[in-house]
Amino acid sequence: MLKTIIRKETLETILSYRFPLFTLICLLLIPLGLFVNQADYGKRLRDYQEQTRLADEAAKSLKIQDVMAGTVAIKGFRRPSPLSVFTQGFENTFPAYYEFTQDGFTAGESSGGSDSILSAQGKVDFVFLVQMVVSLIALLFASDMISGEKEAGTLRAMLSNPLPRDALLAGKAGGGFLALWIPFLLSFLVGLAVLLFAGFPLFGGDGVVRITTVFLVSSLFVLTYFVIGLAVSSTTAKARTSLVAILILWTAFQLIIPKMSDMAARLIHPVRTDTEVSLQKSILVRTLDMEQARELGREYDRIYANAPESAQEDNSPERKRWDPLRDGIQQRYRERKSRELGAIDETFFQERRRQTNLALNLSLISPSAAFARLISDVCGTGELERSRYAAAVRSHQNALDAELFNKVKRTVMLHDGGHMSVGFTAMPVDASKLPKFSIAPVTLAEAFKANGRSLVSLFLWLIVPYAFAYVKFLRYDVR
Amino acid sequence: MLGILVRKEIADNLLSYKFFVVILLSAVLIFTSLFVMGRDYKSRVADYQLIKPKPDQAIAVLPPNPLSVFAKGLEDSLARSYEPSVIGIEARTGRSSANTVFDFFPAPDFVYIVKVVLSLVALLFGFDRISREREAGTLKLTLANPVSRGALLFGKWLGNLFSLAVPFFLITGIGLAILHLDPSFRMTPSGYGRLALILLLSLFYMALFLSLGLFVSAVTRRSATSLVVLLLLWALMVFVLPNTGTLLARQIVEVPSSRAVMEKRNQIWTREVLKTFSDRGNRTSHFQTMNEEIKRLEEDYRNRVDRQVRLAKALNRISPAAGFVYTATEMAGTGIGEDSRLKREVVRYRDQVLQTGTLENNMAPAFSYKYRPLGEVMAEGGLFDIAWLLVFNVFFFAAGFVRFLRYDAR
Repeated sequence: MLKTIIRKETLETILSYRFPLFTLICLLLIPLGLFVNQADYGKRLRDYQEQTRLADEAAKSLKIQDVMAGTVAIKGFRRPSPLSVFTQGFENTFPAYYEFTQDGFTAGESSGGSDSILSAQGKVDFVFLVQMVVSLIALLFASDMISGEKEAGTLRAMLSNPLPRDALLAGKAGGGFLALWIPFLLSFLVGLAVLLFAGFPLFGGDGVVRITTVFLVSSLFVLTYFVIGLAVSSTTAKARTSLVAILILWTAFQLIIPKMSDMAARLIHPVRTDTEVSLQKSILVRTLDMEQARELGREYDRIYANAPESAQEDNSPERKRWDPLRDGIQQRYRERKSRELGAIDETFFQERRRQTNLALNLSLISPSAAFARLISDVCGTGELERSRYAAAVRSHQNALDAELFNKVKRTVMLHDGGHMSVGFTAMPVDASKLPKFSIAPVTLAEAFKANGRSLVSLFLWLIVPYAFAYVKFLRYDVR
Repeated sequence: MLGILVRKEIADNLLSYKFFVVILLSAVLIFTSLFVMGRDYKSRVADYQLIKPKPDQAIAVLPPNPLSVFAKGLEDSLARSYEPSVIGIEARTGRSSANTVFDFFPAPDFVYIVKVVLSLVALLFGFDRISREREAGTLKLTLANPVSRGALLFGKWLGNLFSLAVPFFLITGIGLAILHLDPSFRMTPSGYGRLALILLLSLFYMALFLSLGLFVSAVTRRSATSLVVLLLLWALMVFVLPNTGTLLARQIVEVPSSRAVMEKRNQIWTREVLKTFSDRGNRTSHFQTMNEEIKRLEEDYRNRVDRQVRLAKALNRISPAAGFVYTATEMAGTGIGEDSRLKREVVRYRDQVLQTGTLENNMAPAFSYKYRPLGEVMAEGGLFDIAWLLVFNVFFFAAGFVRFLRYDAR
């Protein structure tokens, strides 16, 4: 019986005027979106390759004198994620590179850069299209599944047969969704063909598994919206009423909840801005440097106050006292600096993480946000990638400090009369052995593990509306 | 007679629950948008206070534009700070505190709400005006009276536009008043003028979708059919067409990436500086060659970008949504034209500080920038877009009229 209903629903949808229209929309939008983003990705990749080549060349000719002069800036580039073709996520807001210097790292311009001028109309990627357009169509398809049949009088005729209502509802959900899913699948396949034709590396690494995951999760998302539409349809007696209700739900899920959750999190957990924190850090660094220079100058003057000319030689008693004292002071200040800077960073990181987590959790009320979060992590353009990038930058700075920047010790001294002096000690540097910047890739398992809540949200939005539709439909007045 | 028809439409709307629900939705959206964007503006102002250059610093950075609350456009690009130096201009992101958690979703500014949601609302007002009355049988009755079909259609259009416009202006007015409760939000009188024009433009844009709704309603027999057809057209006009032109323009006009240009500039600089070391006598001529080459390179790049942007804009204008966004952002001072003008001004500023030699001795004059006057915005595409929206309006209304003349009212 269930099969008959599914067949009937599928056929009915396929024969309706809506089906070719929906197919047309999908066939136009999805391949076009993929193609546009593929072209963008190609451009970003070419940029990345060119820039890493230039940076490698520059690194080869690195000299210790440059390190002594403090003019060395080593760049670490992030390779654009190929799957950003499906969802841009944070891709265009990630800095294209970080610049590492003795004083720390600074972010380069975002990957979107000045090319964003053409994107005044907003981005159109696969996830955006599924979120905005396909979801709306799924709601529309479902909106008159029950109320429409009631108005046409066919629901009464059907239920006069020995047909349980739950089977009818399940059949409607299954058949209706199948008719929606086929054109969706078709356009996705056409989109993939377009990507292959444009030379996109579809089969590299675990690309196929990830792309399949993207499609399956998108299908689950579309099903969620379809079931929500069905629930609305079973609560209203008129198809037009359900249309308006659907529009409201759609707008709330797409536009209101995700943004409001961000605002609510900012109000509940206000956080200082990056600029404020970096200002605080630079003030601290400057104060500590000044204190250290003053202490070094004082000690130096004390030791060398009445020393003869020969005191500067390597084996002089003054030198023997000065060297360990200087190293000790420098070590103490280095430790203090790293402890205090670390504390500022850690506090800020915790504050921000609390705010971000709250915003993310609140946004999961909307299935759209849950979907976008999960897919962007699967595609390597989401929150996980961002934290990996940040961790990679921190560890690269530490590695460079050990391998390069700490090979040169600059001793700045501020003497009593206010005059300043600088001394250097340098160790040899092998430019070819400098650590390479790399970001640990996010595996599929990690993406799912980090997005357990998103999956729960999606499944809840699938089960609860279906259960609601079932309860409502049992009492539905079919006359 | 027209007055009665308009009154009937308004009364019809006022008595329907759909009207209240849709208006409530618009109100929630507009308030949310103004609240969210208002907070965003406030945090940008706080950031600007921190990165604001000192009087003798040669850094060009604009304060946040209050109208970006309504039309964000390219504000993030406009708010970047530009630092001129001998080898070029370094652009830094204007705000480092950008909370990018929600970059998944587009900035919900007023223009976006109008472009996506209020256009849909206008369609909802128009989609069943004729087909539903036919289904209900009232169309037959109305036409049995001495009323011309033209007057009936125009009455419907005007009545619905009125039902749409009054709450729209009212809600926006209240939102604006709430926004002003925050003392850090201040707009100049000319800002209000610009905002009024943006609101008028939004009304033209919504009217267009209303006309389209009436037209499709006159073509179809059932209101449900009409809604699905309209949704297809809506998705095409709002999402597909505004990006097709960009796609085509990218294929037609090849532009190197800005970073590639920067690398090339650095190469020229290094080459000529090395030459000056080996050939000390000719130092000035090497610097001159370097300056000329870099200038040529930058000009070529800017010309190509301009050509690509012009072509993309021209092609995208097939969709009224694209034209609406272009003109609304230009009026707000956050558009593409403003961005390229600012960049030209920054280049001029760099030339000025380099020529006068004020860059080296920290005596550079402060960078000052005046937004494009409205007249210029209008002359450079604004008027065309307004006219284009009106043409679409008239076209859809006329097409609807022609179809309605032959419409079988039974």
